[in-house]
Amino acid sequence: MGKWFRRQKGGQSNKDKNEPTFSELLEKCKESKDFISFRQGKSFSFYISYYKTLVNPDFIHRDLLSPITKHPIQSLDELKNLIPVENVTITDDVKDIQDKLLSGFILVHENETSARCALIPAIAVEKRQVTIPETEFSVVGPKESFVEAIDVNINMVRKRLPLPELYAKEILVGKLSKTRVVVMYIQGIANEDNISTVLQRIKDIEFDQIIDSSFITQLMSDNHNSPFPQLIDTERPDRTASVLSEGKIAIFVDGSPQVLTGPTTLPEFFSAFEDYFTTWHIASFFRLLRLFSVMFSVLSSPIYVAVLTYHYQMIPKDLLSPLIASRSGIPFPPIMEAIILELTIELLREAGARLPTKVGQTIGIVGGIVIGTAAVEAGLTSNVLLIIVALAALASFTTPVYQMSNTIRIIRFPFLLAAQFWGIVGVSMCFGFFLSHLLKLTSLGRPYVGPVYPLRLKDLKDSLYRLPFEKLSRRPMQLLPEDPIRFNKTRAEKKQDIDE
Amino acid sequence: MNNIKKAFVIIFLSILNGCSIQPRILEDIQLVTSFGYDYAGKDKIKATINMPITPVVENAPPGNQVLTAIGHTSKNIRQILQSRSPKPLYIGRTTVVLYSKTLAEHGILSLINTLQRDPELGRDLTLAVVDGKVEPLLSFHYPWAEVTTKYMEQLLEQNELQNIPKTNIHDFLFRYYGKGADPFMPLLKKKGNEIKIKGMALFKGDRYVGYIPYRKSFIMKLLFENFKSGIYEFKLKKENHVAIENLASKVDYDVQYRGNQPHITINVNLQGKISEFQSTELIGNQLIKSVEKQADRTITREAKNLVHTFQDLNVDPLGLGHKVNNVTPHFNFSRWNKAYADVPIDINVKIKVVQSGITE
Amino acid sequence: MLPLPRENQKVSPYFVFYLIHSTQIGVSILGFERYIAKDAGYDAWISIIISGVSINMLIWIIYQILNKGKNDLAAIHMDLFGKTVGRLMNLYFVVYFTLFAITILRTYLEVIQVWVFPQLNLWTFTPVFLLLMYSFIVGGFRVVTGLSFLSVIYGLPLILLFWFPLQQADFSNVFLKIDHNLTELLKGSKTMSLGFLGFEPLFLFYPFIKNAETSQKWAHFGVIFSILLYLTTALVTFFYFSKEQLTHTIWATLTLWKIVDLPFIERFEYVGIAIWVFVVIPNLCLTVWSAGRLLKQSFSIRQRTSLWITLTILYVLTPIFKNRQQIDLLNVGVGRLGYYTIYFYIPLLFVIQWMIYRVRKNQ
Repeated sequence: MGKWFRRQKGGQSNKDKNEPTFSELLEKCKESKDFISFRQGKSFSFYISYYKTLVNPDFIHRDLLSPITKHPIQSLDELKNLIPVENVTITDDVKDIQDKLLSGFILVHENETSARCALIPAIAVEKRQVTIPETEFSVVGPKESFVEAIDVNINMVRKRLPLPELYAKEILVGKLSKTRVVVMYIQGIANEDNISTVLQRIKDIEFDQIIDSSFITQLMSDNHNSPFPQLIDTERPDRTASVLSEGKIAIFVDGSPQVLTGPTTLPEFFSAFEDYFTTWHIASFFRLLRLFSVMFSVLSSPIYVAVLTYHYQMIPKDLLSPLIASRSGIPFPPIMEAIILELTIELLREAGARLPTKVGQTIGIVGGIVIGTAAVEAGLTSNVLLIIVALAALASFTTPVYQMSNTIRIIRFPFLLAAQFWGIVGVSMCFGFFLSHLLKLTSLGRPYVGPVYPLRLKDLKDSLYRLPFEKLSRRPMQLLPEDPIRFNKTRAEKKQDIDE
Repeated sequence: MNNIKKAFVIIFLSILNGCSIQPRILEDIQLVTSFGYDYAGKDKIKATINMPITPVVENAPPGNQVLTAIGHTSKNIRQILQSRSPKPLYIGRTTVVLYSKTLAEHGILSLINTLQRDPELGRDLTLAVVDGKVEPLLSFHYPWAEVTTKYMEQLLEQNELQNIPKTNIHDFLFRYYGKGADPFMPLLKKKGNEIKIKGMALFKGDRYVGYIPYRKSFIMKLLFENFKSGIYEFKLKKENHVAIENLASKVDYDVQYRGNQPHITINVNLQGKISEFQSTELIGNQLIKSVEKQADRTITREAKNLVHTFQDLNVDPLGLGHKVNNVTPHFNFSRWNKAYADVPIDINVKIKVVQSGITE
Repeated sequence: MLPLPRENQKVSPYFVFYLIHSTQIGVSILGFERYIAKDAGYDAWISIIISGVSINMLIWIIYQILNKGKNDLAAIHMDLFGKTVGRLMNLYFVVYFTLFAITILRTYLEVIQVWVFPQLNLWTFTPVFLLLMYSFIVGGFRVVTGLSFLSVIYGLPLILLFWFPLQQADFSNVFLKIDHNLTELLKGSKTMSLGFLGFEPLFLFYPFIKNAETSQKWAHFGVIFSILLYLTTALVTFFYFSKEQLTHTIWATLTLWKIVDLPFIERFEYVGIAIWVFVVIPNLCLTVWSAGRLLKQSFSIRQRTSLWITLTILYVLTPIFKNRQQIDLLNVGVGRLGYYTIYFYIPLLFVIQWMIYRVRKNQ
């Protein structure tokens, strides 16, 4: 009790110290070169103060200076009626003044000591054009992607879901950055528990700056030590709108072109949004292909190491002599060979990612062709492993969610070590450890391994594969939506008789 | 306990553990792909192992390396052979194991037993008897293929499809241990610069007792299993030879008791096509009928002869005892063994010619 | 009365199918054929059915006990026999589960030693295996259930591999005659019942099932599925091996995998043994979880603590058994213990409970 009281008291005094008087605030602001404070004309007895880098200069000239030079005013209330913008407020709360001043409001005040002043919004929004999605590119379908301005992002989603039930709750996060975080969901579809979990977790975030949505993911995920991402980040407004209507929750962060959606499940990380733009056969084929490629990507080089180190009997007859031929004369044991090659591939990828696109491509070609061929010719690696590792790297890039594809490339290394220590049994046991981790993992409190365990056969229709739309009449039960029915199934499935 | 701590414990243990397991890296071991045993005096055997050597140069054909040693047990021999090999020898990829006829006459159970016991060996291991000595057969470099083992493998595999009954180590053990059946395996012979299948070697228990020639092994295959290929040639009339190609042959055994005596009927149904006909006669219905009739008669006769040969040698490669046992409650094997030579066996062969090629 | 688990820790009734099934399929299916064939020859398939039916009857009895007791075995024991005797009975089951876990673990490790790594050092390999178990059990019963569910799914494709031995099978080996009398068949079914052992954790996970009374049919289905699996395996083995050959084969099912020859992989038994980790692990996890749960319930210690105790005992005792004879002895001993436990103690408990409840009702 005493402790609690003391802390509370300490907090109080801290707050007092942080809250300067109005004149102190102006004093502080004037230290910055881009802060402007002046008195306009003789007829006008008010000071105008603003950060010139934060406000829209057109607005000042057109909508503020020209009316007040034409119509002399006596009080702030008159000013409020005169200026043709909404949201003009008159306040004397220094904290509020400081926040608004720093977010691009113009301050109009009588003198330099009295805190009573009018705040006129004149925020200059510097924003990038809406461009085509790059990390989640799709050949067909919408080509819009989110930008850094949160209002533009919300606009793009609202356009797709014109519903009053689409709620957007705003929370400011970050002691220094005071980033706007908006939680969006459809009331009546999204589960109430999920919503309160998300809001609570965002409120609980203690961090000084939130630069990007990925900060939020890392700070609010269920298990911070897990290599697996527990929220999906997307740059596609269409995907966001679609998952919102499934009953998920989207988290917009100001300044981030990625929107977080959750709760999510493991299979969802392997579904690209383009799957919905193609017919269900093709979509299902691609999804299964991606699942296969994940398995291949994680397991192929460990199995190569296990088989070549311990289980020579498992190699098919016809592969045996090519394998021996390619391995003979290589100075490293299979494990070293595999680790060197895997690291090389990672190096190439990393170098390509750090460099501008065109140079990156060159690096890819140089690395892939020149280093690969040279390594084989120099007898440093076997060409069989080179093929395996290259294919595995390729397979890992099929994962549509970037964060997940990174995870997949990383978890290969424990498997490699396990394969070296206990051969194929080790690979199996390593898989066991990951399985135990995945079974324990949750995303916003919902089981991560999705419709597989706990088994929800209805949800499987749109997870590992995708069935036609008329079969997807229910929202995923995984999310426990308030309203699970998407549309009337019987009407959708009604078939015409022959010759009717 | 958090993941990181757990990971450290595991890595520590695995490093400890890693020291205990001997890695067998593919290129650091020498794979033996076939081996064989010769008789080398009382209680002594001579082993010959054949292994492919993969050259370091790429795209160069692999070569053969052969080692020979004499010893008392196969494991002892392996030790001796090891002293002459730069890499440790591993027999996990062996596909063919040969026994010389002389050795087989003395019994090969102990040698097969080690094969059966070894978890490294697979079950698709083909066993064969060599007429003559194993060593020259294994050490010769045949023009057919770079690797001798591959040559033998392919030779046996393709013949097992159409001309000789399928055998592998499992079949041998099945028949050896199983009551009422005797094992058999192909009999090979080196002739000039090639290997040839001479026939099927018949065993009583683990001892070689005789063989049937290659020509008759097709008949044995007909009686032994269902299969879908192979050609049989026979004389139609005086000068005309007809070759029938087997499209699908089915065999089933019928055991009936007449009094106390089991009576076995073997029914063979063969669908075939006429593939060669040494005559100018047109192939019509009439002719097909007569071909069928003649073929029935010839094959039945041949089959009967074959079964009599088995009964004379007192071996049961068809597993008749096993089949009678399966339908007889409280079967007495010692009585069966005495009676086997005189058990009446009927053979019905039905041949149906369904095709005669693309001309008529 | 001991407290019941919270609602959000419970699992749906149909998971009982997977739980029961995955506890019954373990290492024993890799080599049970030889033992039943020793007793009842190739008529042993009848023995499998007989013992399967008896196990179904036992499941029925267990459900009667649990439905009446409304809690797990620990609570029922302490309710019926009083605190002290009840605790002793619970302790017996803790020992039984621990021994059972040791048997499974040691037998599986023996398979790895014989087939894959002859030089495997148990003192360093066992703890890794135990850590794997720990990381599942620490997730709670829901995670263990998920594991047993997934393991059944993983294991199913292995059934397809029977295709390969069937190509070389001699179907006339079985079915055409019945050569063994009832005594021999019953003896075979006694041996077979050891394969079905392991469903006893039902006594402890019962309170973790939503609407537990309704889960009984799933338990029966689970047993029936195990019977079918054992039956299929036994029949394929009987078709493939001759009887005398089978008596020389210790791990007949594993030997069957030897002939699997896929174009991209040969010698499937290595893959099979590796996949078998996932068949053995749920079996072990459930048994160890039950032992820990019993300790927690009867001595009110934390389950984390009791789990560590059990795992330590496993670590100390498992590598002690060195060779085939000792492991065989362990299997036979624990098998006998289990046999008497399920066939004598469970019906006895049923009768005792019935009598005590009647007396209480009259009072």
